[in-house]
Amino acid sequence: MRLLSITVRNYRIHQEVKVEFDRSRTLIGGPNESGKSTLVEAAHRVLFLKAKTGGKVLQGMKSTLHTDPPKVTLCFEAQGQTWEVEKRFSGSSGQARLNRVGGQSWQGDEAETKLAELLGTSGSVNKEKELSLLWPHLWVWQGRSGEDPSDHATEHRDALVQRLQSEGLAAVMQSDFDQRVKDRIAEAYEALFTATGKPKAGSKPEVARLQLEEAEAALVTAQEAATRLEDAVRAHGSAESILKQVDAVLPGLQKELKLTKEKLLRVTELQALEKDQNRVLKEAGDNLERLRKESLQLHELQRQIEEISTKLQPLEQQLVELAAAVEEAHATRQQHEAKHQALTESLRTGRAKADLASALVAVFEKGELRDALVIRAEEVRKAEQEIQVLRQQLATLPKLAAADVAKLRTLEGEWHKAVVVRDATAAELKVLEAEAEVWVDGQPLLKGESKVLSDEVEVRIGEGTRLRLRPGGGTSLAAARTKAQEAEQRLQDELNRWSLGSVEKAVQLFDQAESLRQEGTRLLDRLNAFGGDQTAKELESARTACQTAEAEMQRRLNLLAMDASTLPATLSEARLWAQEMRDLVAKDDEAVILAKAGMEESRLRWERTEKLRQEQLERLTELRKLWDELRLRVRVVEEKYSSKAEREEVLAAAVGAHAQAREKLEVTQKLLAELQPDMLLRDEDRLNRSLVNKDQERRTAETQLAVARSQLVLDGKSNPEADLQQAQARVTEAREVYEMEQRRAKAVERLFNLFAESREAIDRRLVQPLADRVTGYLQCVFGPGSELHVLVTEEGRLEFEVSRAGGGAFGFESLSGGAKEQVAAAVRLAMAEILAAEHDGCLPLVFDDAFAYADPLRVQQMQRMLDLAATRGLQVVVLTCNPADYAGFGGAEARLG
Amino acid sequence: MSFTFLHTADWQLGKPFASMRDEAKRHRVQEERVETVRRLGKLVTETGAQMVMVAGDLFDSSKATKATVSAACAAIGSLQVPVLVIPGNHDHGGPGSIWDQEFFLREQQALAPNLRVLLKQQPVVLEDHGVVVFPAPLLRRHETGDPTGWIRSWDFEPSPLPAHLPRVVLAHGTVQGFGASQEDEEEMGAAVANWIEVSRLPMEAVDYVALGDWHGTKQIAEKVWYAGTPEVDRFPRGEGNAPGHVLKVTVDRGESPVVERMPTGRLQWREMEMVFAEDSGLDLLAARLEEMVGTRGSEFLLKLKVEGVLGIEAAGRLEQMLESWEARLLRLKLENRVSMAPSQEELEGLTHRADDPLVSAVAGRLVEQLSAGDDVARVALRELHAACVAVRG
Repeated sequence: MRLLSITVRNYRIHQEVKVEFDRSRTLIGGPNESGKSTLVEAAHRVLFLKAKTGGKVLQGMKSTLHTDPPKVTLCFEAQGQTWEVEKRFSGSSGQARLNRVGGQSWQGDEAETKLAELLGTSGSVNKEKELSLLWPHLWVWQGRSGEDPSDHATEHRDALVQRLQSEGLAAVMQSDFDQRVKDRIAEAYEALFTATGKPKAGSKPEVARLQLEEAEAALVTAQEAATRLEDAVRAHGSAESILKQVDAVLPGLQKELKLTKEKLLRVTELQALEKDQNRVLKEAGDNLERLRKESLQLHELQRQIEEISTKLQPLEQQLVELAAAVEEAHATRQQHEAKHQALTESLRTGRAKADLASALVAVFEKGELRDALVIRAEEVRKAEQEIQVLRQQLATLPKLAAADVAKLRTLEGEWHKAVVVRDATAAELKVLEAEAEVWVDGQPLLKGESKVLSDEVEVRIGEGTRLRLRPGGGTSLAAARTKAQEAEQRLQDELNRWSLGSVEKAVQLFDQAESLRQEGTRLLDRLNAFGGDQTAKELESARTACQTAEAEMQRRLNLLAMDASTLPATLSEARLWAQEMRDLVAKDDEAVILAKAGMEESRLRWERTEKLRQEQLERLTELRKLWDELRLRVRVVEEKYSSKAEREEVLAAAVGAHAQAREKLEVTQKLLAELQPDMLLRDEDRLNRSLVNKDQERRTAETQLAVARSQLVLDGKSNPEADLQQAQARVTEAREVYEMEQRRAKAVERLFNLFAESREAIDRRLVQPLADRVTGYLQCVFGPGSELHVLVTEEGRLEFEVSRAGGGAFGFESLSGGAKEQVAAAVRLAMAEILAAEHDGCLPLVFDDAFAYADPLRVQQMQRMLDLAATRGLQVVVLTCNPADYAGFGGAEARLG
Repeated sequence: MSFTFLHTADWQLGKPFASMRDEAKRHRVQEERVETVRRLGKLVTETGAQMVMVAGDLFDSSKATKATVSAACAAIGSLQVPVLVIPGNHDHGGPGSIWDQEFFLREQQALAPNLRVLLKQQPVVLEDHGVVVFPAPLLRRHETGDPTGWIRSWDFEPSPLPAHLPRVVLAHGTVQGFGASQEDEEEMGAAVANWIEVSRLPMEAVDYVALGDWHGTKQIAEKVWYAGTPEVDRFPRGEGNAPGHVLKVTVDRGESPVVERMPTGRLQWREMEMVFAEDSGLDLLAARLEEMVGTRGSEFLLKLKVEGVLGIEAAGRLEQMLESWEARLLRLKLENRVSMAPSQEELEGLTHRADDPLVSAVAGRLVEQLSAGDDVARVALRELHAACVAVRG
């Protein structure tokens, strides 16, 4: 089928336009809005839309300029003839006409039917939706060029395959039988596997697997039960054998222990014996040692005694000599002492007499002094008496001072002056004559008496007359009266203080006291001239001294037993005697001093000699004492033995005993060593331990035996051995079933996969020629190595993938907008090329601005592809707003607008 | 003075027959063993036997269930004569053994007062019955020494035993060349255990050696016999194995024993082999089975080995046939080595389908894989075949 020309009238913006188509390549240019797409639509509708179509579809077609209905005339070639179809679209009055050029003509529905037959469709349509399903692979509408061509390819799949088969290019398609067998296998597969290829729960192999697992678990349980029994039997056996072993070993151990204990007992005995023998040996040794020591000591003592004896003799001699010397010194000393005593006695008597003489002198002297004092004391006594009298007189007088008297005189003067002032101011009442008694303020006022009235008074005369007299003068009288009273009061107070009646009396008394005081002063001066109080004291002490001297003198006299009458009678005689006595004493004193020196010297000599003798005696005594001690010690030793021979015998016996004790001890020690006590103790320990261990072993074994016995008591409900065999058989059986099911499942899986693979292979073979053709077109654009793969989905849908040299395959949807347009175009061209065989080897392909996304280079390459299609017999019509881009297309060009 | 008794052994009551899948059938086989013991009663009466001696393995396990114990005691009690038993390797004595269990002792007392279990290695003088028994009980599963060893060292001269009484050795174990242990897989490795050195027994001093362990009836020496099991319990192995008997034995002191086999077994343990050269071999197998078993499937236990190659369809038929026989027989122990190989016709039917490219492509791939020895492919082919048949209707 090939388009030849089209005339469009009253169709949207077209009033009338005619375009001639080139047989192979037509390029229709025109700016936007010039009606290119409308032209393409008109060509499509004149072929497929019923002329009587109305409604929206018609409305969309109507001219915007004229009221005449749209009319399209298309010339084309089909089935080896040239045809002209003309449709006037005006709803129910629409007209269709088909002419075979130079031949028959069809009208109306016949025309529509004939046209459909020519085009290989099932008839013209009247709906836009149906319209879009007609030849969409050939009419590439503006804006839809990038749509996935899969739908078109799938829609025409059968046609394509049939075409290819008729060309001997594709394999046969699967049959209905194939499909049913395949479905049956798929059904079997789905019963066994999930969508993800996993074994399906509840499927036979899964059930078999679970049963196998159950059987295996049961086997494990049965094995455990059987093992438990076997273990119990083993435990029983081992316990029995342990008991047997223990029982076999025990007596030997016990016997050995008994023996060891006996030996240990013997060791204990021997150790006690050893201890005892040690003690005996020590005692023998000690004894021997003591005896040896004793013998040595004896020798030493005797040597020392000898030595001391040698020293003693000369010392004794010296002591005798010293005793004689002491005796002599003692006699000399006694002589000196006697002489000294006599002289001392004489001196003492002389001194007593001298003292008596002095005492006598004192007696005389003290007597004279006492007599003088007695006279003075009398004078003092008299003066004191007079002073006493004066003092008594003075004591009777007030003790007024000169100032006190002066003050009294001043006060008296002040009072006199105040009285004068008052009296001068006040009235005076004077009784001159009175028949009756006159009373002033209760006081009788006698005749001749007057009373100064300085104040209001009541005057009563007799019994019947009472008068009130008020003095004049006002306040001055009162003030004068007050002043006078105050002055008087002050004077009176001062007089009262001194208890005096008047000032004159005070002056008198003062003068009297003054004269007494002058007399006293004179007497005191006299008293003091006689010594005053001191004189009495001096007299007293002089009297005492006299008495003392007399007593002293009497005492001395008594001491000397002298007759008092022989004493001197006066002071001067006494003094003379005293001097005489003193001289005598001085002479005796010197003699005594000499005698005392001689006595002292003889005493010292005696003492020295005596000391030497004492020292010598002490030394000697010490040596004697030592000698005695040594002798005693020797005697003590010697007294133990009756003789020296005996003593030596004892020593020899001690030596023998010591040696014997040592020998015995050595025997015992040897026996002990042979018994190896340490080892015996360890043996005992070891054997005890072994016995304990064995006992423990035995008890453990007995327990084990009891436990095993209890485990071996069967419940009798089942036979563990039979259960085990059964369980093993069940496992074997379950495994067989499982393996069989597995084999079958694998076989079904295998079949399922093989069906899928084989169907794919068939599909691939079917669509491979299509792919090859598309690839031819693609390589024009994408270069050598680029390839198109056609995939057939499970649902039989064709899908496309593109691979480029050196790259992976990409699904259509993942291509870029430009590549989509180009790949879709290639698929359309290839499909058209295949399908063209049923249309005289040609089909038109209309590209309405179909490569909007292509860059200039791609557009150039597209022209190669379109040219190849044209070369292969297709009619390519390209509509573009940029005709210049398609300059290399080499097509006949038409312009719109 | 002659003494007649039944020598038997290896009753193995309570044997689980674990490899039998059908519980009811398993129970039936187990039950049959007890029934066989009961049937000995009739034999006792017929033979005039004064005693039954069981040479070990009365129970299959020393841990027999109470039900087994009760059933055994009841059956033994029905025998009317004394039954002497020694433990064998299956029901050995020792700690925890069945002979030790209180329940057994109670049931023995209640149901089988005629049962006497000999657990000691010492002569048992049965004056009343006129026999002296030398028991060789096994007290553990695997005795390392000769269980009859003690008899060798027994001081027969001067003998404290009554001189006129015949002497019977009752033992369980393996003798040179014979014994269950050698054939019983589960007991392999213990072959040296329970070894009875018959040649070393003081044969002049004893009159009969009653052995147990070997399940076939077998004379070992002039006075030495294996009684075998009275009811067959396994598929036959090798020649000369004659299970399913008890021995009627008559002994006299110093005389050779008189031994007679008495058949007791009821269940048929059989073997069959079939090699398929072509699919028609199936019909032959069917005919042979029919001939052997007929309608008595409940008495038969069959070990069937099938080999060779069958087509897909024939292999399916074989499976159906085997399914039937498995149900009919008491037991079908099958060794199926038949390999399924599609016939040429079947192959063509699958692969040469011009109109069904998918099926033929898949079949072609499977055939390729099968020829490379892929077993999954074999099953897959069968599945495909089945699917095709199902779709074709």
